[in-house]
Amino acid sequence: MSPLRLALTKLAAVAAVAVLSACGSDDDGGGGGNPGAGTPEAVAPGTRTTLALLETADLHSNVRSYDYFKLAEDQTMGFERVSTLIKQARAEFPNTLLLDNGDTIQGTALADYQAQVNPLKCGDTLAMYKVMNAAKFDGAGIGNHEFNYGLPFLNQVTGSRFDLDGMPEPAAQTPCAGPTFPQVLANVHSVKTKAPLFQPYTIITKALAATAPDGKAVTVPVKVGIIGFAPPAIMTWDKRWLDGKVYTVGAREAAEQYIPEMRAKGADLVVVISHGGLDASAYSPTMENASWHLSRVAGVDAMLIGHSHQIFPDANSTAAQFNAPGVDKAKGLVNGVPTVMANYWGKHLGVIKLELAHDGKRWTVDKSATTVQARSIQKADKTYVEADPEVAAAIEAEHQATIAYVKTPIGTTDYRMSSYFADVGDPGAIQIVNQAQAAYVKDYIAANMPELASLPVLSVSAPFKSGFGGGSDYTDVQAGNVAINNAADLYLYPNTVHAVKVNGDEVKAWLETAARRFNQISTTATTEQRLISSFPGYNFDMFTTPDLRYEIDVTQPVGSRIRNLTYLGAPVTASHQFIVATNNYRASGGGNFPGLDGSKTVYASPDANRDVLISYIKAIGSITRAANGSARSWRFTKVATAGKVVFSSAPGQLPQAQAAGLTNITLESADDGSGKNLSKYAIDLNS
Amino acid sequence: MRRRAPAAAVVVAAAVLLTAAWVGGAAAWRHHGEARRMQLTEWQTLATAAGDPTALAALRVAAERGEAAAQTALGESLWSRPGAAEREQARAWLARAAANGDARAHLLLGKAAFLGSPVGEQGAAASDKDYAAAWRHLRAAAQAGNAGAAYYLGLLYRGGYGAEPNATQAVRWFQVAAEAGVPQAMFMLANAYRDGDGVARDASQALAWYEAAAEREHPESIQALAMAYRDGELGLDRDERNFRFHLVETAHALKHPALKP
Repeated sequence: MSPLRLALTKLAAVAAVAVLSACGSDDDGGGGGNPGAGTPEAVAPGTRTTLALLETADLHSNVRSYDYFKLAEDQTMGFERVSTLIKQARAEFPNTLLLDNGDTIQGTALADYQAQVNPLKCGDTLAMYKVMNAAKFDGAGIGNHEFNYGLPFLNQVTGSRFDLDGMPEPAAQTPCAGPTFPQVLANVHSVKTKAPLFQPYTIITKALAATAPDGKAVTVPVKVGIIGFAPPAIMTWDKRWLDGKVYTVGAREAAEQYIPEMRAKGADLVVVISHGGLDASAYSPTMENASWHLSRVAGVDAMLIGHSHQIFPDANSTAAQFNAPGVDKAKGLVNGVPTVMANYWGKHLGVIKLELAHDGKRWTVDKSATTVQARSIQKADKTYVEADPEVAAAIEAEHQATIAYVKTPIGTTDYRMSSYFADVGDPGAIQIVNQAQAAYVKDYIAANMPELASLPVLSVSAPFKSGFGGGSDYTDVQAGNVAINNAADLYLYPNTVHAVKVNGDEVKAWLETAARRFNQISTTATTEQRLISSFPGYNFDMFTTPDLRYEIDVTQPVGSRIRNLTYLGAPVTASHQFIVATNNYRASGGGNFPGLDGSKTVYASPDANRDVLISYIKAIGSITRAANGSARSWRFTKVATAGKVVFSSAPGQLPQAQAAGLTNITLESADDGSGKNLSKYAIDLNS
Repeated sequence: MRRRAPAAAVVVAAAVLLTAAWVGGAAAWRHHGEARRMQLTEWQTLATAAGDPTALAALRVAAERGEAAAQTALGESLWSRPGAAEREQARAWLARAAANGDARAHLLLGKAAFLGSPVGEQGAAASDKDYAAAWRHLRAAAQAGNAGAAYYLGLLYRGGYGAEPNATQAVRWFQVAAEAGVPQAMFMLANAYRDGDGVARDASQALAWYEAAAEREHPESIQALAMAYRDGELGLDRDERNFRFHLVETAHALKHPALKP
C-alpha cells in the first residue's frame, strides 16, 4: 500500500467512525470527508473515484469454518474466510462500503448456544456481530431468520429499543450491546405504532479517496442511502413470535415511499438491501422474493440481494429466478440495476464496483463502467483462501463453549443403541425416538387440543441408517454417555414433528407400504432368498410399543402382509381413531404412502424431531434396554421356508442381535459379496 | 345469512368503473385493476396482522358494495380471527364471493371443507370436514384456473375422500398446479412419477420436479433429493457432498417452508 493510500484509508476510517456515532434515519451527514475544516468543502466538478459495494449474505452465524455437528473444520464456508476476501477487496479498491444482507444470527449450534442454551447477557455482543463490528461493517439489512428466536431476543442483540406491545416503552429501555453499524428494515412495522420496527433506511456519509480534475488526490464525501427489506412470509414462518406484534407492508410500496425521501435528504446513491430473490411474476405486497420488482422502483442504484442461497451473477446459473425476463445473469443486472447475491454461509463476497463522477452538485454513476462479481472463497486450484486469524481469535471463548455444549452428556444408556438388526426386529435405536415423539405430541395435545385428547397417541419412525452405504452406514451409539452429537446418529434428518389423525384402516395401509421393505418370500423355493428389497430403509416406518401389535407376513404380496393388527389386544378397524406422531416428510406425502398428503396433519410443530429426542433423553436421564429398547410392536409371521432367507448387515455384529433378544439370526458368511463391507446373515422365520 | 348488495349501489359502482375504463382505455383499466388488487391486499394485511379496524371497515364497505374480491379479502381476514361469530361471518362473505364466481373464495371454502379448521387453532376438531363441499368448491376453483385449487383437487383424487381414488386424475391436476408453480404439487407429482402411480414410472421426471420444488424451498423435496444423493436414487450417483448440502438446505428451508396455497 502506498503511503498516500494508507493515509487516505486512515482518514476514511476516522470519518466513518464519526458518522457511525451519529447514525440515524434522518442523519444528514456532515461528518464527511473534511475533518478539521469548519464547513464541507464543495467537490470540484469532474472529481472521479471508484466505490466498491461489498456484500455478505445469509451468513447464518457461521463465524468459523467449522461444522459443530461433525465437530470438524469445514473450509468450504465461514466468515473467517470471507473476511480474507474483504481485506483483499479493501486493498484492491480505493473505497469500499461493506454491507450485510441479513439471515445473520441464526443457523449454527453457536447461535443456538448464545440464544437458548446460555443466553447472551445484555452487555455482551453476539459472536457474529462481534466479528462484524471488528470488520467495520457500514450497514446491514434484516432477514427472516433474525426473527427465529423471537422479538425480545432480536431487540436485545441488535441493541434496539423496539416500540412493541408487551415491551416497555422505548424510553424505559436501556439498549444492550449490539452491532456498531446501522441496521435497516423498511417493510416490517410495529402493530402498536404502525411505524417501522427498525429504522427503514439510513444515509451513510463516507469519505472517499478521489481524484480531482487537476489530478490531485482529494478526500470528498459521498452520501449512500441504504434501505432494507425482509420477506413478508415471516408472519407465517414465525407466527408464534410475531402475531399481533408486527406486520409487513409491501416492499415496493415502502421503497416508493422512502427512496424519494432518501434522495431529498441528499443521498447521492441508493442501495437496496433486499433479503429476497428475484420473482418476475405479478407483484403482490405479500410476495416472498420482491427484488425483481424493487429493481423497477425509480432511483435504485444497486441491489444487494439474498435469501435464496444462490450466486448472482453467474453466467451458468440454471436457477429459474436468474433466467427471468430483464435479468442479465452474466453481467449481474436486474432491469438494468447492478445486483449481487453472495451465496450463503460466507462462501462468497459480493462486489459491485461503481465508477463515480461528481458534476459539482452530486455524484453520478458511470453505468458503462459498473462491474458485478460474486467472489468465491474457493480459489481456482480448488483450495480455499486462508482464514483471517483475527476472526477466530475474537470469538474463541464462544466457539469453545459451543463445542463443550455439543459434547455435553445429555444422559446415559445402559446398552449399545444400534440399527444393525432394525430390519429384522431390534427396536434398540428406534423406540427411544418413538417414545420421545409420542410424549411430545401427547403433551401438546393435552395442553392445546382438548378435543383430540381422548385419542391414543402413537408414533412411528424408521431406521434412517440401515446399511445402504455399507457396513458403517448404521446407527451405533455406544453404551455410556449420550451427547447432543449422538442425537444426529439416532435421528439423521432435520425433520420437524408432525402429528396426523388417522383411522385404523389408514394405519394398516401405512404399515402395508412400510412392509414393502421386504421381498416376497417363497416357502417352497430351496434356493437362498434375500429378505430385504430395494424399498429404502428410511421408509420402513414402524411402531415400537406394546400397545399396538402386528405381524408382517413376508410370504404374501405387497399390500397383503399385515396380519393381526391389534390395539390393546383388540383388532384395529376403521372405527378406531389414532393420533400418530411422525415427521413433516411423511405427513406431507414423502414416500407416497396412501392417505398421507398433508391433509391429516393436526399438529405441524416447528420443533425438530432431533431436538424433541434430545429433550426427552435429558428428561429421562438414563436410557435402558428394558425401558427404551425392547418393545417390539411387530414380528414376522412364523413360517417354514424350504431354503435359507438371508440379509446383509455390518460384519461382526451378531452379538448385537443376541443382545436384542433376536435368537433366530445366524451368521451365514463374513462377506456378502457386495464389496460394501457387509456380512451375510440368515434369519429363521419359523422361530 | 346471505344478503344482497343494494342494486343501486352496484349500478353506481359499475358506472364509475365503466367511466374510468372509457377515459383511460385498456391500459388504464388494467392499471386500475392492479392498483385495486394492491389496495385490497394492503387492507387485508392491515386488518389481519395489525388488527386495524379502519382497514377492516374499508373492506366491509367494498364487500357490501358487491365487489367479489373485497368479499373474499374480508372473509379471509375474518376467518383468521378467533371468535366463532367472526368465523360464521367469514363463511358467509366467502359464500357470497363464491356465488359471484370468485375463484379464491371457492379455494378458501374448499380448503376449509377438506382440511377442517386450520391446524393448531383453538377449537380445531377436524370434525368439521365436508368432503362433498370440498369437491364442489375445489373443482369450481380449479376449473376457473386457480392453481392452488388444482393442487387440492389432485389430493382429493389421490385419496378418494368420499369417492373412489383416481390416481390418473390426481396426476392430471398435480401437473396443472405444478406447471403453475405450486411446490407442494410438484412434490406430489414427483412422487407419482417415482412410483408409477397414475402415470408411467419416470425417474428423470421425478427428479426434475423435486428439483423445481426444491428451488422454491419446499423442504420435503429437498429432503427427497438428500436421500437420493445418499443412496444413489432417481438416476443420481451416490454423492456424500451433495447429500450433506441438501441435508443442511432441508434444515434451513424448514425454518421458512414454501407456503401452502
